[in-house]
Amino acid sequence: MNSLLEIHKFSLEFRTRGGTVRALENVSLELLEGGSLGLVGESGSGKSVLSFAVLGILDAAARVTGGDIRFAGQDLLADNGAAMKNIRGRELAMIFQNPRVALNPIRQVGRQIEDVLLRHTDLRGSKARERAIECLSEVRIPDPERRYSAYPFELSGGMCQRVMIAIALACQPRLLIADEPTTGLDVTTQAAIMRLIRDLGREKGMATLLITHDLGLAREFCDRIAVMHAGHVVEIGPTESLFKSSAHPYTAQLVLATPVGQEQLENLAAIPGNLPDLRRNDLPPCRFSERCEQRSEACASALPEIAIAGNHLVACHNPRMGKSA
Amino acid sequence: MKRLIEAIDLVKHFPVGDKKRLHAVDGLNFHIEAGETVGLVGESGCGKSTLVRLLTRTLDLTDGQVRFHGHGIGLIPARAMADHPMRREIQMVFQDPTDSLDPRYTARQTIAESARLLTDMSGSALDRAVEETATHVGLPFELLDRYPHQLSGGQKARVGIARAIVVKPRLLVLDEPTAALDVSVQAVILQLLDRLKREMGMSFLFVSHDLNVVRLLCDRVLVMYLGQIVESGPAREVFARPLHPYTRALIASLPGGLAGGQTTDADLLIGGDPQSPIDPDAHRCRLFGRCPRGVERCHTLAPPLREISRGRAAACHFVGPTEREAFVDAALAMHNIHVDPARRAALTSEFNRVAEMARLVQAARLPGDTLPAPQYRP
Amino acid sequence: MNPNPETATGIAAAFDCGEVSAREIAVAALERIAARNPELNAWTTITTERALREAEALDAARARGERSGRLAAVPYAAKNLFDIAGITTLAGARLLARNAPATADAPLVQRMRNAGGLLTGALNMDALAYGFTTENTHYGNTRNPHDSARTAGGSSGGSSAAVAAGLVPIALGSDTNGSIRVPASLCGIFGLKPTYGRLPRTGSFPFVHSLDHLGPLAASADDLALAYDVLQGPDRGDPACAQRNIEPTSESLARGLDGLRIARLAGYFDDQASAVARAASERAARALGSLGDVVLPEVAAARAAAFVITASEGGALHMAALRERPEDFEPLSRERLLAGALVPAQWVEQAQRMRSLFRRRVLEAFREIDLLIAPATPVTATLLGQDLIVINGRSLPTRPSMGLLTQPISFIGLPVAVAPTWPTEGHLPIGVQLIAPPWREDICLRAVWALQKAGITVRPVVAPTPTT
Repeated sequence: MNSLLEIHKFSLEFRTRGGTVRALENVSLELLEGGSLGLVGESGSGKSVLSFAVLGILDAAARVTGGDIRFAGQDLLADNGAAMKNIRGRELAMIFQNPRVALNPIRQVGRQIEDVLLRHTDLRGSKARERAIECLSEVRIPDPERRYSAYPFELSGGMCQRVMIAIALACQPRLLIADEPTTGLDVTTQAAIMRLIRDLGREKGMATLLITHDLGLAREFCDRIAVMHAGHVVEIGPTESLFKSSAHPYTAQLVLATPVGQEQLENLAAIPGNLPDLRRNDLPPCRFSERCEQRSEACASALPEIAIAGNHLVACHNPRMGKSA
Repeated sequence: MKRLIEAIDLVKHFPVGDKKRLHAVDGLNFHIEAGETVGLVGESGCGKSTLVRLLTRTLDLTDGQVRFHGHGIGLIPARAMADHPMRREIQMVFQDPTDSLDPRYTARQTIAESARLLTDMSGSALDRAVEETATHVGLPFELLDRYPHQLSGGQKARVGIARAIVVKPRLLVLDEPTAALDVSVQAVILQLLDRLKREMGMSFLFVSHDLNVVRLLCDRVLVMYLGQIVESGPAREVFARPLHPYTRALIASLPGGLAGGQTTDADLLIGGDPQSPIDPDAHRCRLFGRCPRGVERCHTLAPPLREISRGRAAACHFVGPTEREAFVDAALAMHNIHVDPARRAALTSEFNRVAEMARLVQAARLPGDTLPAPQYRP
Repeated sequence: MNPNPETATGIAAAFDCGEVSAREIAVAALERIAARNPELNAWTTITTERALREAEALDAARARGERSGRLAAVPYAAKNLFDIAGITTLAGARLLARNAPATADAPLVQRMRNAGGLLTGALNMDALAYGFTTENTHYGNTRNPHDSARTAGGSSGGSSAAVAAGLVPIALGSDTNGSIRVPASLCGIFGLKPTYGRLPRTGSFPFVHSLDHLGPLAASADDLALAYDVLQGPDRGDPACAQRNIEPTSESLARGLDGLRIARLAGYFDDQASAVARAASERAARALGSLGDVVLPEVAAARAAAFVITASEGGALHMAALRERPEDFEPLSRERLLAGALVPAQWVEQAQRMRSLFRRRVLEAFREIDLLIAPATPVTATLLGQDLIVINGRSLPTRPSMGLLTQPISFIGLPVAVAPTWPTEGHLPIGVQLIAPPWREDICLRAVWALQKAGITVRPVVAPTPTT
């Protein structure tokens, strides 16, 4: 399988009045064609910033300080105008949480799909309309002809997210970035939306990057998971391997803090301490070390990248080897 | 156990114009015992929040009763609640610790204000109560003089809890208290709540959409769908063996499943949107259209919530009667006796009582020679 | 002679020596009843005319120099499941309200009349005798004379309230699982449930044929014995009646308890009793010179068996009406009756076997012991409408649980009398059961007389009656 998205030693800062926020540092990850990767972390871990960087929608205060991002071999950071725009609109699509806000409230949802088709394809007129209705049908919206003319406020949250997915998939992208796509939706709707994303990805050979705080969600819907903490990817590996033999202390603690699968409330273990302030000038090489129970002298030196198994990597001097969380 | 709060045929309808009414809460019957933690689960729009406002008496009822310690409190007008002595008995902890704290008040002021408004404490007694409560919720004294923006999410959650328990309520209503928190903080707050419930002996109504949290924290669970309770029972039993199709769907929808649960994708809801809560058809099951098991009968006869086994109830035609219920049905048919459906649950419960007595008789050692001889104590 | 005008013996003596006329007594009693009954709701029918007629007949007989009966001019009343000529026998149930009036008195009412008693009317009860609280949806709740917010007990609650309020010194009741003993206990009066088969049930409305007993409730131990003596005698109308000769007890009351071996029931009877009830039985045990505690085996199962048999027989009795006129049943017991009607035979069969085994074991215990003492109710009178009682930290449904301590005794037909005691705390009485071997009602009555003599059956100081 070919690599679709490659991020290599990518670093990014925000210049703010309060100082420079070192939001991402030496982030590396790879997503294969048709694969699914879960980017997991608590708020402030940098997972959304990373997706914005991939999409080129960073705000003006952001500054890339190192590394590169390649999509199907093309450098996404090189600013080559129209070509990039085409990649981002057509081959790379994104859905967000709170779809009602992301949709244009005063335009019929079918027309909003057509807008994308007009921009990125040769379809026009009734052909575009037919394709838009087909898109609604693909995301299992009942009665798509009638729903074509609906306005977002007339649809439930789940239906709006289906419309968002229809818009994202209208041009048959090769990568879908889904940033907390089901946060705020009911659990039964979440199940339907996540299954829809998974099934469409399989049907169309589309890769997905799922950004979520929900470890359980990533576990169920992704082949691979990357765990982020304070702007670092601390561990990345195949889903089951990552859960069964969490190598990074943070991953292990995150698993233990999640109620999913726990038998007793007493077994839930909170993670001590807080995220470090990313504006600090004296951030240690390992940004978890200050709250880590397995810290050692070695943690003061540059972070290693240790392979637990073939494609299960951890950035830690004292990884938990062969232990299950 | 004593019933602390009880809802009887509780109804709240909102007029939505054109003489139409939105049935937010539609005939609920349940109770919370003293010292009990009850989880209320259900999705947005199911009426959870309306129910909470009815119980905390910040919203007037359309019909039915709310009893607190046996006294009807359903007729207290919501606008009179602020000054009513009942107000201190039922306290709330809100979802978002940031939104629910006044940014101009320090933690100490927030907690003290609640005690000052609802109790007659003042001066050093008030100070002492605030500090005791802070200790209870694990809030270091040095944080007491900070403003909300100087506190972390977990610390703000503790302030929110302290504000509610400083007046020593008998019922604490927690509305999604951990939803806005990161998983690492959520664990701490859940354990804090678990400790408070054991130490303070008050009752909790824990409103949450997170079934895993409810499973771990609650003794009993009520599952709501479109204004009605569709299933109730001991939390662990309900999650291990959900009866109602909606409960099964909720559990099947959980990523990563639920410890001990046995649901599959076949239990997921089908179809699109839920039925409208505006003047719903009283003769149709509210889940009809989304239920993977719906049949013609569900369209024409709404199943009532009925006792399925001891302590467990569900409202579904497919949740089979227990063997005992089937026996009662057969015996009634044989004797050609018709029972008013409204009295069917009472009959089941009386029959269960006789059955329990018969079980006691059976459990005694019946054969004459094994019945123990009388013992005499000097 | 200084007869107590509040007791039957006192009234009969005053009439006999000519101090007062029967009519004066009747008028005074009827006036008292008219004044108090609206609050108590003990009487469902007041037979003014009959009481006056009976009184005038007594006065005429005395004027003729005829010898008067042992209950001459004593006002009494009967639970409304006894046939009273000219009145419909209600048994507390609207279901029976359209029945024709009874054409003759029940034999026990006849015996009271023959002894000179003045019938003042019929008394309220739980519908069909299924209940321990006399909360009656169709005929109203009977209130406890000691606290009108509380129940008088049941099902003979009208009987106990009538006597406890001092309106009549004697009332007739029935006891299937405790329906004489529970209200006697909660109202602080005396009651006797004789041996199964002693008193004929002819002319009374049945509930559970194999468990139904009739008996008196009274204001004193002497009155209780006197009423019982008057009620005795064979009657061919009740196939379960043992047809024994009269075995008078009144004369032997003062014999005391010398030579009797007395013990207190512990185990189940302590476990199912509140601290107040336990203290009452301990106090009675001390007063009577108890030798120690006795633990009977499998009492809980025996009580459960009584419950099953009651449900099944009681339900079967009303099967046809449950089918055809469910709306006429008391809502508080309709489903209980219906559930009982559906009980499978196997459960009943096992309950019956339990009954004979338990009887055998208890009779063995009576080889060593002549009298057993136990509390009559787990708690003192509950509030009207109160659904739960708490016993030793367990909360139980009030209506079936009031009979926890009486049910195992009547289950095997033992004679048992209840004497009132007055706990030091609170204003409410609680009774103790005095249980003897079959046919030894005399022992029960001697024991209650001894307790009365010891002074523990009398309300210590009459405090103002709290009304809530």
